[in-house]
Amino acid sequence: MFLVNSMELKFDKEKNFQERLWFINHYSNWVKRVSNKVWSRQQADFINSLFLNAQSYTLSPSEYLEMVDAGRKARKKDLVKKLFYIFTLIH
Amino acid sequence: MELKYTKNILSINNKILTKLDKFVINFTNFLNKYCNYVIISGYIPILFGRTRGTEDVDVFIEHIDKKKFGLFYNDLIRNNYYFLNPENENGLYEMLEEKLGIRAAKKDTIIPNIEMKFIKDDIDNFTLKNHVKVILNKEFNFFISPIEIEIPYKLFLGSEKDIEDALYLWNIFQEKLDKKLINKFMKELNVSGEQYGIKI
Repeated sequence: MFLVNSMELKFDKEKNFQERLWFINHYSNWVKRVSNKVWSRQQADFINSLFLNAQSYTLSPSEYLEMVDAGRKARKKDLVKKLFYIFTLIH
Repeated sequence: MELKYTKNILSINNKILTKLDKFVINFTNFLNKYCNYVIISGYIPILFGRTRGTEDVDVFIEHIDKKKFGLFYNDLIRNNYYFLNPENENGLYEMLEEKLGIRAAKKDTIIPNIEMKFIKDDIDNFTLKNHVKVILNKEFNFFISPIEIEIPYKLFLGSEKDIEDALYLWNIFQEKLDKKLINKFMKELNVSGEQYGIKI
């Protein structure tokens, strides 16, 4: 049961990623077609609203640094795995 | 999108600035006074229109001595910035010497923040030496990494977000890129973007 569930999750993740790549293509084509004022207005509305939310951030600087460090360690593990894989391909 | 990309200058006009752009412009005014630097990674696709959030802006800086760092540090503190790291001026400089990143933000905020590091290897050094000057709205200048390095580097990092950033930059800049240079870094980092549509 666990195996079936994890396979389904993996499938969804890949599908989701492909959909996001499709969106990147679609969105970048639009950005290239319209004037800077048009795309940057939409972008500014979106990003400025994110920063407005960030003002109510409840973590302290040290808690934030701990969180960033934990995320970085996890990514580093993945990168080491990838480098090891490249190394085995070369040798 | 209207933009001009010649060898080391990239100009973009009529951009409505985000709060993140204004933060970068303000902070790089201080960097400009004290050292050579280059902005890398996530802010670059965002500068050119990618709509996603980011908490921090990554910057490589050239190695500066302790005295110069002290001047830079005090200038920032006088101008309402602080460092998220609990270390004092000496401790922060030691962190930089150990090739660790230090983070600065506007007082009473955490996001957005700038993460600064001394350059550490040949690719960082190449990125710094070949930085691209961005001229934003004919008024503001700062330095970013060449797009030809940014795309392979993002593919190398390899998370979904990084691949999306690489694809976005490729789509926006593909007609303007130095294909030889991008190929060189693709080979050096042993990456390919073909499966995502980055066909050089």
